[in-house]
Amino acid sequence: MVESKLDFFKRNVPRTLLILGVIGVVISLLAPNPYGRGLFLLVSLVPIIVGLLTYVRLGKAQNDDGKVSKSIIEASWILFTFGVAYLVMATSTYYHPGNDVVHAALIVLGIVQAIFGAYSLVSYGREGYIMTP
Amino acid sequence: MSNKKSIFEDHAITAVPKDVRRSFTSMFMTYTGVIVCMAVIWTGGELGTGLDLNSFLIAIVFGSLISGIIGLLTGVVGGYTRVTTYVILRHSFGRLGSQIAGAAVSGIGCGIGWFFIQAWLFAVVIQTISLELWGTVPMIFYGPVAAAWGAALMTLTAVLGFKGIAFLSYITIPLFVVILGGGSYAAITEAGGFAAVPEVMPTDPITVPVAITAIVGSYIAGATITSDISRFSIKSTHGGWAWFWHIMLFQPILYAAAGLLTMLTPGTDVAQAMAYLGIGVGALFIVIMGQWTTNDSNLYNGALAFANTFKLSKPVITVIMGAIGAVMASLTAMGVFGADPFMAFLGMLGTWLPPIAGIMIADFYIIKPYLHGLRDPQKRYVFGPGTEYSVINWIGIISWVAAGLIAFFVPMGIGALNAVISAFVIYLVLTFIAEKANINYSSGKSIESESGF
Repeated sequence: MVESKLDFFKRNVPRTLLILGVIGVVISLLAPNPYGRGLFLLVSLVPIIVGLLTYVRLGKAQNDDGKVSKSIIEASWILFTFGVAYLVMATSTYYHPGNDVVHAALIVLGIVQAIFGAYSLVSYGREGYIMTP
Repeated sequence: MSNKKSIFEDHAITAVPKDVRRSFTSMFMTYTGVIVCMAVIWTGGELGTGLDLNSFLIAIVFGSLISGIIGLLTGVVGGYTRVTTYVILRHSFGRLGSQIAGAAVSGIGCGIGWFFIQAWLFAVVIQTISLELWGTVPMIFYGPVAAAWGAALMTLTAVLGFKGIAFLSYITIPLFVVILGGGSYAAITEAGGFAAVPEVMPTDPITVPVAITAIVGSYIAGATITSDISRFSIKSTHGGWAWFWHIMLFQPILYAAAGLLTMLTPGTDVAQAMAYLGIGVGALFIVIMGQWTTNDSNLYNGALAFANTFKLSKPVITVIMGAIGAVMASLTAMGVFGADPFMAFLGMLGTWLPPIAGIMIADFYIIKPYLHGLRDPQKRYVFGPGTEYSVINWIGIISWVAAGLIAFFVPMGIGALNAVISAFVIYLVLTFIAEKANINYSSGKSIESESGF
């Protein structure tokens, strides 16, 4: 039961980074404010890059539990912190996307990303893994 | 990987075991979390108003290089010995000497003094920013209240020890990069683009040496006690190198971001500049998290020093010190007493912290391998139950006091660097003379107990 929960994160954390990153890119491109568009594009690209790197690291780690969990925990941190980054920066007037729908979409995206990242971290922490490996 | 031990276990006076050691990344993140504090950001902001771009870059590179090298050398000592700075000092200062020196400069200085001053500063800035953001100060952000909950938050992670501090750094650092990056980019575009940056003239000019002194001085305490974190590194040298690279890579970014914000906007400090650019929530976040990640480290280092001095558990010491700090910060915020006399006293006390780095470096890298023939770095110091220390190593104490006095009274050069170099030289020369002349320079005998005390 416990095994399958961590397997769930092993399978879905890198996938979520890629999917939410791509959604972030699409939403950011719709922002009328060029400053907001640029900033949120950058914020969205980081999860995509980290997601790809995590797949590479998982491939290299094979079945080494220590390396696999380290990769997933670090990817979960990116998921969480960059989710919060959407929330913090979306509130600034300078980087406001310039459209309320885009603004709301970015905030929802940030919340989803932060919650999934935090859930993954808490799950690993509960199983006794070091959360800052 | 699995860790089911007490969450408060932090190996305050014993060597860090293999199963809780961390990677280079973890070391790098933890050090970076500690450096992101209002003091460093404010120093960067002041440099931005005092220097042109070229001088600014020169000062940052040289200042960072000095702090980086000192911290690298002390951090590697922690990586090989696996114990805190204060336990390491049991060899070069003697058992009682390490208790006095650690308690005086780190316990009282960092753990009580700077902890309460930073908690008070946290409250003052929070109150100012919330006034700028909302035109009024909500009760929770009212100075004395903010000082109390701020100190409580900082105490919480310090009680958890390394893992609490590391955890907070993992949350904070990526966000800081986004917020400060976004802030400085906004400042540059508002000022007319990158071409405008070299043309900005300083409003309160300062010289490059003064700027280097400010950069080194703002973080020399951290460079001295790097072992408190580096003892957790998986590879012995990784903690030291993590310190070096975080200083060389992140400190310039931090200074540059803070400098650009004040250089290119009417704001006289970073919080004002960010509020001016409409990134008020980001500024609030930086103040809260920046002070938290730094001040929990002040408390942590102070508690580690006291754990080597008093036979009390580190979590208990941390809570007592945290409570004292919270009360003093709240009283200062209420105006019961001013912070200035304390800051003057702490500044004076801080003069005696950098010499510790000089003595540690001299003892570990020169005296042990070349005078005592202990070439293998793993074997230069022995710790653990039954280990015999002198009660006082007089040369350690004399070098420490003399270097502190030199740094305090010699007005030339960089005070903190003067302290490190003079302690290094005095310790080397006196030990060499004493050993060659067969003079006994230590008194008494102290044996480490099972608990590590």
